Amino acid sequence: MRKKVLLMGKSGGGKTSMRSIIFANYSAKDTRRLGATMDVEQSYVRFLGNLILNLWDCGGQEAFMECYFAAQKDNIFKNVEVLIYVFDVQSQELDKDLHYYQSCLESILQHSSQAKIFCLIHKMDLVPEDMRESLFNERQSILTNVSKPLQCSCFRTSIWDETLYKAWSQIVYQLVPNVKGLEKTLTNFADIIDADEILLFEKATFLVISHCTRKPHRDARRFEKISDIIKQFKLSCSKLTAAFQSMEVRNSTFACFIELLTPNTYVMVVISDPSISSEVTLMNIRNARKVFEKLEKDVSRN
Amino acid sequence: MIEETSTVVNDIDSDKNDNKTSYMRPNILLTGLRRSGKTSIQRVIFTKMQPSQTQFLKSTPHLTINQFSCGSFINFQVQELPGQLHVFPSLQFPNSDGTHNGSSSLYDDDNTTHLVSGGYDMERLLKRCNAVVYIIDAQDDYSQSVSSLNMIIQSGKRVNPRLRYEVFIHKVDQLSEEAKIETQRDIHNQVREHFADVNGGTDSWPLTSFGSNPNTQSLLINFHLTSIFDHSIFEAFSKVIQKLIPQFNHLEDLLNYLISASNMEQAFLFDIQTKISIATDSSPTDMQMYELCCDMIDLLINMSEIYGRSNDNVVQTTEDDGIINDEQSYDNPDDEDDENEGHIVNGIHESTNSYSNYSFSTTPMVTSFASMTETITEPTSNVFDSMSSSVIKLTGGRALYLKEINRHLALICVLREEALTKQAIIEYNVNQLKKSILELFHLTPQTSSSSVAS
Ligand SMILES: Nc1nc2c(ncn2[C@@H]2O[C@H](COP(=O)(O)OP(=O)(O)OP(=O)(O)O)[C@@H](O)[C@H]2O)c(=O)[nH]1
Ligand SMILES: Nc1nc2c(ncn2[C@@H]2O[C@H](COP(=O)(O)OP(=O)(O)O)[C@@H](O)[C@H]2O)c(=O)[nH]1
Ligand SMILES: [Mg+2]
Ligand SMILES: [Mg+2]
Repeated sequence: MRKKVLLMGKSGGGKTSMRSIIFANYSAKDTRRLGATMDVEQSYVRFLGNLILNLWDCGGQEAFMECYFAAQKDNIFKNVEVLIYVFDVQSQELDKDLHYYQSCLESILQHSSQAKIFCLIHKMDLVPEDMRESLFNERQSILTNVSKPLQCSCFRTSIWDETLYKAWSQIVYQLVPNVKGLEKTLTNFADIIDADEILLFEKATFLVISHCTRKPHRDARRFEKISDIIKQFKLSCSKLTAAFQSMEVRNSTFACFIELLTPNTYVMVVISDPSISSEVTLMNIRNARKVFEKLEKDVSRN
Repeated sequence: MIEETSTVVNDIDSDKNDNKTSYMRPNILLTGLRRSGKTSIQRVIFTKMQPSQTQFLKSTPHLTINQFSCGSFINFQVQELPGQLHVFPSLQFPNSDGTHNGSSSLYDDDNTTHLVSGGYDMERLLKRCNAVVYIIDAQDDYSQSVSSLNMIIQSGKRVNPRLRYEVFIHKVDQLSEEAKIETQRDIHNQVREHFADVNGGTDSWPLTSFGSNPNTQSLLINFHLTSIFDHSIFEAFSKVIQKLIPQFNHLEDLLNYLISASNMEQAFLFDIQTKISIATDSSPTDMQMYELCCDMIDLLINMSEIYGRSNDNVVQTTEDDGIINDEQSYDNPDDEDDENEGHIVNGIHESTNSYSNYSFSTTPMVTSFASMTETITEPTSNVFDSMSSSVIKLTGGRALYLKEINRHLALICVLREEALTKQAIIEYNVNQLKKSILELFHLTPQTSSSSVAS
């Protein structure tokens, strides 16, 4: 199954940076080396095994942009599943950015009217912390307005913190087949082993694709934080020419396990009952593998 | 144990006039030309400042003294001396034989008297300290810096012949691997040439251990390539601290014993707040493994911050209480003097990354004499507790195992996955090690920790 994802926005906005971090194991620092993208750079990333994301990273220099809406229009805008439009928050030419965005929407409406649209207000780290909220709200309402009649989802992002993972996890969530079935199985599993929380990660990106929460948690940003934490650690493992395989962390109030679940997913189980030993939880995870593997196979057959 | 401590330390501290308590708080004199990176290094290691934020630091105009504690029992003092060549009056007028300082406290006159006189009595500082950490900016023309280092060594040889010099060839993040080696060799040679005659030949160069030749005038000097943008600065500082810990050899023996008894590859003892490794087993450690251990600490703390912070946290072990009590007896009596002098004591605290406000009970205490205006943030919660532990498995059959030793210290072991299957044995051995370490530092809890689960 192949799904086309368009990445668009002004040159220097951070499109290539984001996709390199999410899909190609770049660290935020590594992105400083990136040069401007010439024309369109296509890449295929295997996501959840049989799902293949076809990323179209469209270089944002004006000469290219003009081309996209003219000669290349059909080629670029047909069969789009997801459009990700990146706005550089520091851009001094908001009007121009919006103008290109609208041209883009027109073409989408014409060729792929079913596409999901995401707007990322990017490089938020450059805005003082106390101004981020209001600035984001202002941009969001502008974008919602100009997008009509199409719907867009807005996210604030920065490659320097976990907001990146929040946005991308929501984006890929749109593309995961059978999310409902996955959620249901996860909830069952959580009930059986009496977990406080279970997260399901896509293996390569460590983005959260499903979760079940049985005990309320104060931190609503924890999923993206965890993606970020584990991703960082995976990067440091790779320096040792070894790869991260599994993890157990505990203190007196919790135990948390991250284990491979299916060939395409990791699972994270959080337990706060101290009487449940590690061995038991690990065995439970092992037993759940069959169920989830079967679920994955069934989906790919359909 | 007490004897052990004092003999070893007297060894380090050659100044017999020194206040007896000074050995409780090893002194590190951190110096180097201006803008070489002294303040940045301290901020990055002890207050978790982001390396990129150091570019906004103002230059330090005065001698600044910072007290740090590490692992609850290692207290040490870092004196940052702004390095301008002309501040060594005692070099121009060599007069000092050290008798003029029969004062009671280390910390008062060093600063009050000499600041007023507009310069620093270098010899006095050198006499008082246990190690000199000298920072050379490798991105700059370093010839002036090296001659300044030579002057310091010269002066140190006179007043404190057993003093150890740790030269940080710093800011090497911008240099190629080749340039690093070349720079190190060049600096090394420049220092050696300067002291070749005095040293009576070069065969004793470099000397790295105190024990090897206690009576010669040989120079104890080490070179480290460092940068605040990677882990090299933590590793270098760890080495400096390790040499100042009187119990280091014992710790090393204990870790050696642990890895052979439990079939492990490597073991590190970390201060979790600063990520200074206060001891390792004696096998050669590679930088990358050290880095991974640091990252494992981050992982453990970050995950614990998210899931391990229940409000009804009642697990305050008796063990911790024991440590707190002991800590007090370890306190330096000079602390009192510090306060009487009206120094500003404040802890600087910056969070390492956006979401973990590293919360530990040791705050670095910063005692400064200038008008440093840092804000105080007292750490509140402590997610690193007596049950903290972690196991991480890597491909290729390697695994990392982390275990709490006390609320500041973590043991991290590198081992094969097969060895990990005998987890009961490992846990037993680690608990034995834990007991020995606490004993070594007289931190034995009243209620014994022998009833540990295995
Ligand atoms: N401060 C900050 N810088 C960022 C962020 N994301 C990307 N950058 C930097 O922005 C620069 C340009 O990023 P690219 O990813 O090459 O931009 P692009 O959108 O692909 O540009 P074109 O290929 O020309 O369209 C790089 O130096 C990145 O390091 C961010 O969130 N914050
Ligand atoms: N590239 C690089 N710059 C550094 C490093 N350490 C410090 N600096 C920079 O050196 C400058 C001077 O640092 P500072 O700590 O104030 O020097 P001090 O006068 O010795 O205390 C600052 O701009 C730091 O950002 C390093 O490891 N690499
Ligand atoms: Mg690009
Ligand atoms: Mg300074």
